[in-house]
Amino acid sequence: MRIILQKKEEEDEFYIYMRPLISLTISIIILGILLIPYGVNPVELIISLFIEPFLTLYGITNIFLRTIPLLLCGIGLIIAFKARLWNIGAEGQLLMGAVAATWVALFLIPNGSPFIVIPLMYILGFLFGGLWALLPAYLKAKWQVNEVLTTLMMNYIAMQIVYYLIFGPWRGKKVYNYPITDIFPESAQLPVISARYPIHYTTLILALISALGVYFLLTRTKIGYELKTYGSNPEMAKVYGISPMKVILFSMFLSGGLAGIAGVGEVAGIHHMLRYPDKISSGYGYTAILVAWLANLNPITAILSSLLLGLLITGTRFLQTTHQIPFGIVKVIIGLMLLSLAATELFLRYRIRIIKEG
Amino acid sequence: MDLDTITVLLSIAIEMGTPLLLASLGEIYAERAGVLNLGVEGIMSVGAVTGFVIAYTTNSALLAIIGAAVVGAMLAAIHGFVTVYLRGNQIISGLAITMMGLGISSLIGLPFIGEKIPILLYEIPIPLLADIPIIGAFFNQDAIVYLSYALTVILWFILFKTRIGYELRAVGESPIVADTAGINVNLVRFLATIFGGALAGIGGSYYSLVIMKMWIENLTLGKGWIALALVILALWNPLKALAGAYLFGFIDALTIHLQIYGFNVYILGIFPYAITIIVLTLSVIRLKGREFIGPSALGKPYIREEEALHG
Amino acid sequence: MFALKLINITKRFPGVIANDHISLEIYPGEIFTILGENGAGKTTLMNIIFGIYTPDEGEIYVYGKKVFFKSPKDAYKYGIAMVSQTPKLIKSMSVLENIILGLKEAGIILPIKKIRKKVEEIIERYGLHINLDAKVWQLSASEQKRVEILKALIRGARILILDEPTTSLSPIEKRRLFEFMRRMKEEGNTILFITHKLSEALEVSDRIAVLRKGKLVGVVNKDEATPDMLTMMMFGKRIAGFNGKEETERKETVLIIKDLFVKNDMGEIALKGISLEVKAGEILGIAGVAGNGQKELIEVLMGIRRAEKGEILFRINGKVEEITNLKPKKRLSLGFGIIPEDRIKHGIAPDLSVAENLIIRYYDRRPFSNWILLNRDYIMEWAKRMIEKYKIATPSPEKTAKFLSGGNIQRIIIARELDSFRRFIIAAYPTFGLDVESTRFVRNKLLEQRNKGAAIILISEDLDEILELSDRIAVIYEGEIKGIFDAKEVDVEEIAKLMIGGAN
Repeated sequence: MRIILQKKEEEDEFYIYMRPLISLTISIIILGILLIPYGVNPVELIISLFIEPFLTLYGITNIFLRTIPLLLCGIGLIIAFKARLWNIGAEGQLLMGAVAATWVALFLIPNGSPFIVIPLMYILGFLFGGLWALLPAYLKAKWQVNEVLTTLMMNYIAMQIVYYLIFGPWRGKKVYNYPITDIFPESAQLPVISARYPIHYTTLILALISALGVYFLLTRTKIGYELKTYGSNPEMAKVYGISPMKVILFSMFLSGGLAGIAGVGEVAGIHHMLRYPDKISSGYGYTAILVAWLANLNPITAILSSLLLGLLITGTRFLQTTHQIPFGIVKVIIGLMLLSLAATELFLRYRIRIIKEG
Repeated sequence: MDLDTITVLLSIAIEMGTPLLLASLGEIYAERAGVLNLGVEGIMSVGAVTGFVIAYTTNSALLAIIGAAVVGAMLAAIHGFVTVYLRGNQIISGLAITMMGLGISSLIGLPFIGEKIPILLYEIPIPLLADIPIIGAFFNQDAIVYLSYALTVILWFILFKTRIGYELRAVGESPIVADTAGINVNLVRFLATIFGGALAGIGGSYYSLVIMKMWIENLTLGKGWIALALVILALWNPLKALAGAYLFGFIDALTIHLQIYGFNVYILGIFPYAITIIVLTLSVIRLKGREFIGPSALGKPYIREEEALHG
Repeated sequence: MFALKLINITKRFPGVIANDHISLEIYPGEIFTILGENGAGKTTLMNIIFGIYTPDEGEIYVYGKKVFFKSPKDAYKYGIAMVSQTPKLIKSMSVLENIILGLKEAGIILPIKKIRKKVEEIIERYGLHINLDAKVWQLSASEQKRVEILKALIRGARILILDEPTTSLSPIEKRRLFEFMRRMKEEGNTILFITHKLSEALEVSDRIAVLRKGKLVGVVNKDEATPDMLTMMMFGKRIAGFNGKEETERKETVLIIKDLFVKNDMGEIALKGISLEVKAGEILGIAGVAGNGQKELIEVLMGIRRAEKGEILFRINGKVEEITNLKPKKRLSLGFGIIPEDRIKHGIAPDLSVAENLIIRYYDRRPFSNWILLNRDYIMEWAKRMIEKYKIATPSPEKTAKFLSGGNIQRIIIARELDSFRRFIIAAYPTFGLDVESTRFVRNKLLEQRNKGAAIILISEDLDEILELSDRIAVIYEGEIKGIFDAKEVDVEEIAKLMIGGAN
């Protein structure tokens, strides 16, 4: 008996759309199995994850609060991945955006008008995040240094910087020695929809605009074309005059910048302070990788995939409170979904055939 | 700085470098066969928690190490299956394994946070050699460290001087050539990946068994990534990996030591990561114009039908 | 008793039947040729015999036993070995290491003296001399073929498949290969010789099987075979010669290469002070075995490889400018056209659509784009026109390029590079692996440009193609130009000699 791979005539369109769902289904099933020892039955699982979040104010709010940074980071990653740049550093870029916002809020213009402070936070957040991505970008462009490792290292460095700030020079004066900064002044707190739905909608709007913007960038602009071409065939792109340096620096900067905006949103829209890195971002930078690939690197579809993941993460929180399941389970879900995406890639272009002997 | 301090620093360097060494030795084999395993960070984490839990409940270092190796191998087997047999994207699969590994280890470790275990591995000084100033540090270590010395040499020998190692390298250089020569490319890659996972698991367990002897969140904190960088730095050669691992171990030791002098712990904490970036850049620059720049087929799935079509 | 028997072998790929119920009987001690144009299904059939592919239908018998190969390993057990068209060797390892790869007899610790002796014996027996300790990347194409053959022989091959073995060989090396084939035959072994060249089939075969579009057309004995008959079998009709070249008035010199020194990837000098001139309206063919500096020449002309010393001069608007290290993009705007050596690697962006691939030369000028935006409507319209004009087989301009066949990919490249008049064209192996229709199309396009006054450098391994298309022929060997001839008066024998360094 022999198992061979046979190429399909053309890419299975139907399968392209089904893959995210297949991935989700497989992951939920495996998750269900893993949670049996914790006493969670499958029905409870599905309800907790997909239905409960919609039933409370807290739930709905949470869905959106999580979707916002996921969408922003996800869009940024789509840009990078299209250019074949593996930006695993969204987490750190997000943190630097948070640092920028904190700086503006507490030290640069502590007494300013919100009409100046808020835009400035976003702008500097974008800049800081973008610059944070620029070092790995430059190293890749100039010497082809592996960007997976360099962006990852930058994540850890960013975390250390945040620790340094909150334990050191930026430690709040009025916070009883906790490792956090002072609370942001009102002018630096992002406006929310309402007290019942404390969603920082300004960031949400920015996220939606960037989704549309990036879609436009990739399909209609020259730089988007250059980016895609470089990502598809770097050698050839050079021959036709596309500068790798320009493409790499541009995409990474934009990618980091969007993650930076997400950081601003978290810190100025939810926490109103700078605190432990893992409280600011519960892995959004990494989860966004899933957002991007689940959306098949399409910025518009990313709106949906980020919503889905926002829902999943919120649902998992519910699972945590009702069944005492540790939050680490989120990482497992995300990992499972990514894994099943990788595992099912094959079937886009190949089918499996079993050949019997003789 | 006197002789004693240097010896102590060296000893710590060896200790801190050992998990890196084990993990990168394993990854060297996987990458030499053409499989990039970004899941090392997650695997080390799971190895750490497994080792800890087993040691906590059985007080047996041996069982703990075996358990860590088995669990590491299992996780790596998933990665191996997805990337080798299902031809999945190695980067995505590896990242997925890391996430799952980190999640699983925090899950399993939750009830044990803050718990401690006794010293289960003692230093075994080698008579005479252990007394030599400075170098003596190499001969005053525990069993796992001695194991890592032996593994380094053995794995180097197998890789470069035996038929098995040669076939492994052929698979990573040019899978289609290896295939037509009758070598089972997929099996070699799969086994190499599992082997890498087992070693990474053991490496991870070293953190919980020896270095920390207690369980906390985020025990490994990025060491898996450094091990990956180490593989590149070592030019996929086990002997060079030894040198590199202890170099990084030394940086860690220095970081701890310098705290005594009042440097801020967080700023110091940046150094391992910053130096990794610098060292990575330097080694890539150094690679230019060299003959060997890494296994040619690294990261690419092997599909026989398709390859043959392009002749 | 036959050595190899195929019954109804069928193999399908998406959209095409590569082998259609092929049945053959091959006897020991004969040179059996499989003749057919590129794409007729010869390599597929060989891959099936060698165990790389599994047939969808049909049976294989080796010396009377029915066999089912799961991989080449099984084929070796039955004494079948294949030397493929492109060398399957690990460049960074030595000759001996490549030969013994995968052999159980090689032992645990290498290298073993016993195996080395065995290899040396075989070398003596068949006259396949080679330095066992040289690294493969240092070898010439002909030497690499020798290594492949040794690989087969050390495994005890009795049925040896040679797939287009004369690719990259100079005429003298070709003769040596044929002598080796005859020697194998004398020892009772079978040679399966695959080729698309009539002349070769006629020269060396005992029997010839012709494949056309996946089907077996027939098997003829060497005594009965004639060129006309074989052509008829291969194509189903007579092929007229290609459009003859018009006499053009060759005007001024457009491109001058002066004393150019270029390094290769290993840091060695690949081009050693070459000098060439190309005039408007002529095709300068560069004949030579691959690996003698052609790659570096193509890349330095494209602008993606630096010149260490020397100059490249280009005449534009009456003035002669130095363009030695000019950026590739600027050369394009000066009127360069590039048909790259590796279609997939340098010719298209596989993940982009056909339309996006077609515009890569023009994307940043009007009316394709305006400031920072692309003009989608114009691009689509233009792409549709190109698709029709160049008969690119694709359901729509939006289709992702990597799904197209090799011939269609080349059509995209031709459409992009040769649609407008180009002052200077680099055509590297432009018809490699293409079927007859696409080949003719490409050659005509080149001649068209030539007739309009383009200066063209044609690099090809196919000596026939060079002889047919070129006005002048230069021979390159080890990075030097060994001679430049007028195509009308050229002596093929002399070119053949120069291609391997003038040695006999």
